[in-house]
Amino acid sequence: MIFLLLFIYKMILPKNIPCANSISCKKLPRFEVERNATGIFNNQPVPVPNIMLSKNEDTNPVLGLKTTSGEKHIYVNLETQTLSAYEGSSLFMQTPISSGLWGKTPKGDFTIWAKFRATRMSGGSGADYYDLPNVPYVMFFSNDEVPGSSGFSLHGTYWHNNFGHAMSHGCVNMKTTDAGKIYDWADAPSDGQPGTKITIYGDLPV
Amino acid sequence: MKIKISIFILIITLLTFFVTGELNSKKNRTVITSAAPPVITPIESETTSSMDSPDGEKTLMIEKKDNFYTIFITNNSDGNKTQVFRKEKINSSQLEIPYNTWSPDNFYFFLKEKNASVDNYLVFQSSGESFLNNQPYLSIQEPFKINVPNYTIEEVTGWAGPNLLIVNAKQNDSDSKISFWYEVPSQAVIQLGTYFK
Repeated sequence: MIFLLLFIYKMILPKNIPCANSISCKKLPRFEVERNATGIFNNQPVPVPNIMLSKNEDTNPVLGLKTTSGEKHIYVNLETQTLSAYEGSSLFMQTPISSGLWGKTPKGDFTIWAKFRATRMSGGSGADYYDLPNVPYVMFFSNDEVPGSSGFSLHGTYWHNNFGHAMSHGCVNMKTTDAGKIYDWADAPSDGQPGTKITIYGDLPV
Repeated sequence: MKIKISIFILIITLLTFFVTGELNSKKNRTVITSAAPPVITPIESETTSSMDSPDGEKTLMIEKKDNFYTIFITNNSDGNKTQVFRKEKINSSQLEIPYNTWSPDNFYFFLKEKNASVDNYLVFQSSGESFLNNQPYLSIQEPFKINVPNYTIEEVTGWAGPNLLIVNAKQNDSDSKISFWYEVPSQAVIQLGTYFK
């Protein structure tokens, strides 16, 4: 059954969509935590914070905070490198982000298809190679043109602090504290309902 | 008798003129009192600014008071606040906390020193310890001027890694822009192929 799922998963990955996370292009992403690990970013060693799970934290894709004040929608502006999360017309939070520098962040309308408290990400090559365990608060997003297997996500960041400037391989990087707030608030799909909407727009300044 | 009445009326009239004149002159007179002059108490201009580390574990705070900047770090898990540095405010210079001030591992932080001429960037150890040669902080302008004199720093945007600051610079005689890494332990300035917009 797993092999069948993996086969279908690989078949639906279009050839022209680059992998933001090479691990998700080979297998389904999953909750994954390592202790006392070392990561690599820009070909430099990076200390990896241990993930301390509290008793209330679920390690599987979880639902967001249930509220009734309006539809949740996350907007990512690539030009200003900011993320704004709305619930109806109310602004939940606004924060600087880092979008794709070495790989493009896809533009368009997406929904969150899976949430993981932490997972491993790897990709790039040469001087841009990265291998990062314990990436915190990961929210994978997709649409008809950008499949989930391409690995694009919103997530926390422990390997750089250069928000407000492009700095990723295609994902949307946030401060870990900001990512945690969005992670707890946003919804993964459930009961036939799609996950929280994400709209990515604008162009990086030349 | 008539003479006495006339003299009395004259005296009353003269007195009336005198009293009226005195009252009018007092209205235009400046009143000088013997009370002590008001004491002007200097208002202490005290401002604070702060920034949490990306993992939320620490908070950096600058307090400006009495022409001094004092830098504190609070450990948010236990609320323990320690002073890591104190610096006199010189002329029009201003110390600011950039949004990306903390290194990813919270080992270092950097501040922007706004000056009338050229802005400088200062790197500190969050432990409050000095660098080699008892330097309380590292100035980025100094090694930059020595190593790449044909470029001017436009902005230090943040950290590319635990000890790598991203310095965006412009060539002095053209519009060419380029990014550098400033490696804190070695104080090396490394030219990059990528420009960090």
